[in-house]
Amino acid sequence: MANRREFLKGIATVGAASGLGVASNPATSDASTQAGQELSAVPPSSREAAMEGERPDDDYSETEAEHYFVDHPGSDFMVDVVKSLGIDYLASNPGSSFRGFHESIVNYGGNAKPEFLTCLHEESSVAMGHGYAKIAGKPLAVACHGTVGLQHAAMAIYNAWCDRAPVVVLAGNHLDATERRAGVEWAHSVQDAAKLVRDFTKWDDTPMSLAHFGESLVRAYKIAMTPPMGPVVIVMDGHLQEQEIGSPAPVVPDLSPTVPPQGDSGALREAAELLANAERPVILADRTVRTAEGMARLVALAEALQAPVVDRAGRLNFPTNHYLNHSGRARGLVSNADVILGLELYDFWGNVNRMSDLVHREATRTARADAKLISLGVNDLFIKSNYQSFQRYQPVDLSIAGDAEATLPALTEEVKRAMSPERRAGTAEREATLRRAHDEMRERAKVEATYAWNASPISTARMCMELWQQIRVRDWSMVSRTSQVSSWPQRLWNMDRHYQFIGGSGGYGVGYGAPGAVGAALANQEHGRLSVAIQADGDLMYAPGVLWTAAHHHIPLLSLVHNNRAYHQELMHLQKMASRRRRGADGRAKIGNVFEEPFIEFTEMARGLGVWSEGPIHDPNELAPAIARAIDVVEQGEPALLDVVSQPR
Amino acid sequence: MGCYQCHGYEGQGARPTGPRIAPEPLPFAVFSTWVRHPPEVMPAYSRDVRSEDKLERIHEYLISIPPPPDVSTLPALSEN
Repeated sequence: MANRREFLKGIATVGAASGLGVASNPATSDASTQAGQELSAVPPSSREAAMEGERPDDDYSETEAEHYFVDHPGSDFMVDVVKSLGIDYLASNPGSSFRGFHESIVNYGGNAKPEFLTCLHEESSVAMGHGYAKIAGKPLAVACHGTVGLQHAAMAIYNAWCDRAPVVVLAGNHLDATERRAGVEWAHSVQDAAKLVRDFTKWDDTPMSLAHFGESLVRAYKIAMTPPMGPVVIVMDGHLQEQEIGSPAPVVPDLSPTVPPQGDSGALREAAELLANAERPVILADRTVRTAEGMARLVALAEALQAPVVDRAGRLNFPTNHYLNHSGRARGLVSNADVILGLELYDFWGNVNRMSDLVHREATRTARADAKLISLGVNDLFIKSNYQSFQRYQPVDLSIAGDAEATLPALTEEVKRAMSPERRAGTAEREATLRRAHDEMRERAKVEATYAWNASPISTARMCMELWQQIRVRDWSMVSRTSQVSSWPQRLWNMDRHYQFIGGSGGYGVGYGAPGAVGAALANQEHGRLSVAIQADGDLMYAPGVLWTAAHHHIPLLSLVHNNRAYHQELMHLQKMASRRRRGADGRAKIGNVFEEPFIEFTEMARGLGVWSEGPIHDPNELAPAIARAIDVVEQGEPALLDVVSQPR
Repeated sequence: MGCYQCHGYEGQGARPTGPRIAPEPLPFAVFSTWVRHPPEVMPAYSRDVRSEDKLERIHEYLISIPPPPDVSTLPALSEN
């Protein structure tokens, strides 16, 4: 230890004299620089400069100094690695197993890129990262205890796994039993921290040295960002964090991003032949589009084919106001289609079959028996056994492994090549029919929205359309799911930018909604977008502390609480069970499912957490002015919440 | 009885859970048959759970619900 310290002192002295520092620095990850050009990741403070060069002449003996101080802790290097990856935020609530890393973030790293986001629950940290990634197109990092923290985080990691969202989880741990303090450090230590979540993460590692940490974190980031994307875990050993970096100083490895895989050209040609010669082709898109270019690519394919697109809402894949968007006609289109192209379908089987929820469950195919099925996506490239989120096996005629967004241009070119003049003429006729059907679908939705328009509790259609009236003239982003409000935004709003809807939790794990929205709003902030969420009441109560995080970090987000005062999905399930058993039509299905006696006062709760809030709003005519006031708050850079007492769905 | 859970407090229906059942519900005989022998996902409500008499009162409530406003009178919809 003394030798290492002497060595580092020597380096520091030479560095001070020559303008060079040690290798632990983000600059080392830049190919244009070499290890040792600068010491600090940000311009050093005078204190830091003093620490890095000549120290004040104090009266510590060599032995004492070694006893008290660590000049270049390993966690500084860990921060350098995180910085090299361009990670802007670290979402976390503090934990002693990563106290060294935490300190390096705020002091050595200057609490910038990444900035520490103070969270109040690890599940919120991960869910924030989940929502953030879908807007930012890159992950943030989460730090948590490898034991109790990762257990809290597990459900949110599962959601991110199911939703194909990259999140980098850094888990603190003390692997060396002889280095643990008695008590808490034993309770917060584990042989294999990542085992807990290994079934639903893409990759994990437990580095045994700083160099190992550097390589594994860069590898983890690369894996997380390669389609199919997903969460990864790297364990940060407490000893590595807190001890000297040592020598030779490790170097931050370069990141080599992986180009998303494209489908095989021969298979694409075959698919194009089927599609170009189809009479009634249908495109089903789920987690397909993640960029503006991706949406343009899907539009190009649909227009080349004049094929209707059903957006399964894993993301916003296709403009809602495009004449080829026929999401509201899914059942009829699928049952009549002769060729069905599934793009990154979460559940192909469920799109072409139906399983009844009766006493005896029966599966029936809803697609034509002779319909040709084509699958293009990355689902087959990475799958695990235990958790069954991969859905039922669906035989298809052509299964193409490849990232759909990356593959679409090649497929579209093949379609154009395969299209004969006669076929092109046929698609022109199809275009007229589809334009008419699209317009009728939208007009029908408007009429449906009028029912219960003046009702109290407020109808979900009214809530959505009053919101739409005020956001439509702005650059907005819907950062919550919409299925719980009858998908009115997709049915009636003009959504034509990929960031205007980002899907839901993926794993249907309750508690994603609020933190996912806050994370997405954080990513939208730098673009000046107005983030809006229709927030399920039950979901908000899982970890409402994320509202404080939004207030504390001034994250602008407008949340309308869809307050139907129940775990409403479960209420319906229980009523179904009661009816099936010929009992309980007397309201007893409410037991365990509704939030009554007392009602939850969301407004008071939000205000207590520092968030501007109004409500409960019962009168639909009071909604528009309340939304206007809330938008004023959000446009000043703060979160706002409206409690809307609303119809069930 | 729980109709509102899937069809809304005014029977307006909801896309993921149940169709619109008001105003102008199906004639009572058809309505009753539907409730007793529903197709697809709706649970069946047998007579011992909900008598014909009580079903009639539900039907009367559905009839009493006024028609909705016209789209053209609602700027939030007509301007869209």
